[in-house]
Amino acid sequence: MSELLSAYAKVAGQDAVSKLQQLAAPMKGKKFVHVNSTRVGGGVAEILMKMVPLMNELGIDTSWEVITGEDKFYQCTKSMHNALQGDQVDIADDLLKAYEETNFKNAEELRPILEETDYVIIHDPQPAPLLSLCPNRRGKWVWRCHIDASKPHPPVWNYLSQYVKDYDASYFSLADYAQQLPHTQYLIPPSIDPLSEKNMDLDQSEIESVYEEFDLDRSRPIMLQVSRYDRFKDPIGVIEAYKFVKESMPEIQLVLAGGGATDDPEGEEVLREVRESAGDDPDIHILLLPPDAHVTINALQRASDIILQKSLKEGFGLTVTEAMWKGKPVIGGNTGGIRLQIVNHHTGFLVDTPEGAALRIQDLLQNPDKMEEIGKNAKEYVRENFLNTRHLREILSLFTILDNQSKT
Amino acid sequence: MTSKNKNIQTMQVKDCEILNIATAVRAQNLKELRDELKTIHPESIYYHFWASKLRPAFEKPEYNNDFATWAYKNLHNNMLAERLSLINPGMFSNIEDLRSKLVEVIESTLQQDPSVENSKESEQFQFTRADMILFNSEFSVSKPEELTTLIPTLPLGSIYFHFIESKNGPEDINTFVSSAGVDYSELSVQLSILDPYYFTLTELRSRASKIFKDFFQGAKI
Repeated sequence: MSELLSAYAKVAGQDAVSKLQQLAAPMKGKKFVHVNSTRVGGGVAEILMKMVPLMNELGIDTSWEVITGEDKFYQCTKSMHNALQGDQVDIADDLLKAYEETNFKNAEELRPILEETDYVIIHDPQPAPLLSLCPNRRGKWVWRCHIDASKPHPPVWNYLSQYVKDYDASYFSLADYAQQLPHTQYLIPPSIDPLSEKNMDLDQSEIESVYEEFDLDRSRPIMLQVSRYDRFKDPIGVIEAYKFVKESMPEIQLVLAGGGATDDPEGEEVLREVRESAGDDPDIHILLLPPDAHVTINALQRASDIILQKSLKEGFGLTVTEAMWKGKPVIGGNTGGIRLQIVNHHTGFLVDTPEGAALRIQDLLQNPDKMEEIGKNAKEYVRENFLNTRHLREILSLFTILDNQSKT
Repeated sequence: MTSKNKNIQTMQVKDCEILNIATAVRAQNLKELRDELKTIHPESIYYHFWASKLRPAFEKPEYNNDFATWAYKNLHNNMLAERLSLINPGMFSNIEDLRSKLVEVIESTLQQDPSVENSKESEQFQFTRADMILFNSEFSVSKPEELTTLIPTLPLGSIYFHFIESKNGPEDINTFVSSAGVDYSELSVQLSILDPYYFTLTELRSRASKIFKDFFQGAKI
């Protein structure tokens, strides 16, 4: 077994790798292509960065293509993203024209590759029209929707579905996000890579370095939320929860770690509100981290006692999985994909209010044994359900099913 | 003299996983559940009785199928949950009869109390079905004795496949045992009494292990 597969077997289990090898065997030498619209930044790129090498290691000839466009194309796809998430915004005709033209131009370049490919996954709405622009395709094409499309703005969904309906299948993270389509819609949640910088094991010295770097007192309990400064992540609610806890446990410290606010006008505004709400409390640490601070986030999660993801709305919330993988109890908002990850009272707690979060924090800090047990459960739950070995197994299963359907 | 079948076929032990499929059909209250049940894909009904056993769980579920669990957790209707949970799919010869029974129980509840309580929008009943993928394990067995040490070590996917999904088929554990000869008929009887509907897969593995262990400890074959 190769070094990479052995490394996965070590963390995910030999059985997980054996199953991948069984599924990959009939696909050896076949061509597999992922297409999305960005190579860096964002959850999709993060997943593909690790999944593509793993697929190649299994003998599947896998590549990753990225479509490119001009400003109007991105304006259109940003609006489309928002509309799929429920914003009641129509998209202007000139933007839709840019969307169609951009896909046409990219198809000119990618057509020779895509039409010869055995298995294609098109990620999200940006490259969705490529299928209709590859009329001589011979492989199986699947559309992956990473977005919470549970309540899409109907005109935008109707427009997009004309491109999506002809795919051989599609897949979504949660059943709530599926729509009426003429093909099978599979449910495959996203995943984390246990070997990535954000999730790999760290030396104790790396973990301890964050105490000094961020002026944290390692002898006192730390609660942490990692997320961008966004109202849906409810950072103000986290500060409220902290203040409730502080009344009975004055030793508590709070770290809010986020980034990318400077180029996001709303993010800056939320950050201002967060700073205002924190006041001059020296035990609240508001961090602005660069987008590549993966090891720092990893260390912060490992250095903390309790992790929060008190979102009010959340597509999936992989930060929950990341924290659980580090054996930490997570207190999450009772919403979206967080509910799939946190089994209430077993792998963490689901809460609806800052008071609920405070209650669970106090409870956990008073019961170190419980904290340890929940953290242990959480890690095993992630090992079974949210590592990229499971994710890839389900993707390969999907294409195996499509292949078998063709044979019959 | 013994009556073992010397020509018994070797059985490849398998593991299975399911790939969930969204039907995009949902119900927010009991009337919607009843209406959708009348037309939903039969595999979805099967799924909501059995597939929950493959979901990771930290405690034994309060009720035995997804319909009952939803009535209990999301409609807060304990009476209905109890009635739905008592429907044992193993007692029905086909899915259509099972579908009729579900609809009948829900209709009788609606007649007693026609008021409709909606679940939260985020907690609608999501009709789901699944495709199954099979994996060959490293084990195969050529006589029932070999299962005594093997069953306690099998993954839950194998237990699901050989005790539930393959029920009465050639890869059903009991079919394998009964084909091994009359010397194993008592073991086969014990296995046929074991009703998987009432157990988690961990419990099922443990019960089956005990049946094999007890049989071979006391058997003279």
